[in-house]
Amino acid sequence: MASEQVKIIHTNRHNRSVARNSGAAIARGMYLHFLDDDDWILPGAFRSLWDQAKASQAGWIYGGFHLVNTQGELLKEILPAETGNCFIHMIASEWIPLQASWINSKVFFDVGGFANLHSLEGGYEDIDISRLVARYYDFARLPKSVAVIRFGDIDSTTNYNDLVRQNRRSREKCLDLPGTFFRLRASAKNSAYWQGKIAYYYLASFRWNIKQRRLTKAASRAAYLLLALAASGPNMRFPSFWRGVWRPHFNLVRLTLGRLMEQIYQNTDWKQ
Amino acid sequence: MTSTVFCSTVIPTVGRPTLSRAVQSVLEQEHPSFDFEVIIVNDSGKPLQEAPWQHPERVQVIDTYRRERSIARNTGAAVATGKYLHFLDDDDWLAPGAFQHFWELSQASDSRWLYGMTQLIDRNEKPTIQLKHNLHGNCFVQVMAGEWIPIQSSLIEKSVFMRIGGFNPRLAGPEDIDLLRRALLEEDIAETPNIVAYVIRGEEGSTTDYQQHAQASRWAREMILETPNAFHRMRSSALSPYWHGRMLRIYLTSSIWNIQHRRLFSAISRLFSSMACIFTAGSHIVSGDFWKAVAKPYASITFQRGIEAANLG
Repeated sequence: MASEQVKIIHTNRHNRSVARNSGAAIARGMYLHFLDDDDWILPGAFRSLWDQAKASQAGWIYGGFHLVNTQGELLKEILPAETGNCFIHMIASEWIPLQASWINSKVFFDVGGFANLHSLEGGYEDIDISRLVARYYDFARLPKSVAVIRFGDIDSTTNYNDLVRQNRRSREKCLDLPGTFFRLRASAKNSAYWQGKIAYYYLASFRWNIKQRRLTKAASRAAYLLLALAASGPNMRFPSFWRGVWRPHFNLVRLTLGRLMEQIYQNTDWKQ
Repeated sequence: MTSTVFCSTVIPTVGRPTLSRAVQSVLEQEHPSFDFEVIIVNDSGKPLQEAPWQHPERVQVIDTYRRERSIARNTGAAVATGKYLHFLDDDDWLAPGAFQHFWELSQASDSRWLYGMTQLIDRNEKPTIQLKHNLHGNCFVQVMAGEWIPIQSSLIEKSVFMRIGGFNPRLAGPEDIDLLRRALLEEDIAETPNIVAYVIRGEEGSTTDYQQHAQASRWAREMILETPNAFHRMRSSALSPYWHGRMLRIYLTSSIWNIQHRRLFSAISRLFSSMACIFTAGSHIVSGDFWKAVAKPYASITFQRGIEAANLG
């Protein structure tokens, strides 16, 4: 620990967001990398990320990652494919882990750092920040793995309902940002499925705001829903568009792990 | 001396020479009933000049890397161990006995935002006016209208600060009034009738800072108006026709702003809230004060009082 490259600060058992934001404030690097204490990075990872960073203007640079179980055994290697404007992918909870990412420090502070965990009902701050960055900045991808991430809930109990609420809180915040709709449209890149997904999230938010009796908010979401449908035009003839509108999205990690997911997350109550 | 720390003073600095005076004014608050600490957040990007006040055990220096005040203060708050947080700037200073007044107030009050009187100082370090707010309990409509309680003269319970997420790092300038508003959305305040801090302010009674950052401040205020309990909280802090009128004005000006920024549904929502203001004001709407408040921009009552007292003196 007695290296000049290592600095320790003590925060007083607040939460992850406070600890990470404090670390970022004392950091001097052009890029910020957030690792958890049970994960690690692969040899040569920084060199590859640096090469990618030099060749790109993106606000967020990332690579693939190995998912290991709590015993450290490899489950799967995941290589996400998002590049450029990937706002709708992030809204759909595609997961680009912080452990495998470099965030440009100016970009990090522009979006205000990690959100206050209380405002997100206790979690989801990692996906939340990827959404905020994606709203304003592009992503660049490295086609090789850079980090190893422990996956599973043996030591913790996660309530799926909490995740749903946290996700919704974060998504509502993003839908409220000015210019969100047009950034979402641009990120769908003429894909019928992703255009359908834009409609899906406005529809979901419309229904939720109705339930909360936030009627003007619901009306605003309904207007964007209609706009999303109208703007999709001829893409509406494809079944993939309607699959996007009606079906929930499974992210790459969930698709890759398939059945394994339920085995790994034994303590999670997936019922809603 | 008790083992728990009563209060942590966080002083962000860019290395100005006035820092010594600020730190010294805190170190002189020594009192047998409570303990306190000073956290200096050096945001200058270079080492601070060696000074004797860096050595006492109760002083801690951390270095942030030119991140501006909000982030520097939030980082100081994260390492603080006190029950209350106190934020001082490097050119302001505490009045003798300030912490003792706060300590006594904390024993007598359940409020989680404590504050005292402020002596404003001009750039030539001459005292100008004193601020005595006379605000107690729920004062949400007052701070939404534009009342400003300097954070230099305030103690904020750390749990409240953390719950509301600290200073908004995206605001530079109106971040203190934004923090006050977000805190008062849920919390009550209590005042000690003693001068606790000397605060340097450019022009007498002006709102220069505020106007310079009007746009950012506006956005922050809109975010607060979006929160579900803002209306009820404001309603219960409006206890006279004047403040009912102010509340209506807040919603009306917000609808105009939203129309100008093409946020039509938000504008409609604010118009509904404006109508609700009129209904809930009841018989207050026949009062002249109500309509005077609706018609005119807010001029701080505290500043007016301070200026009148200074002229008399």
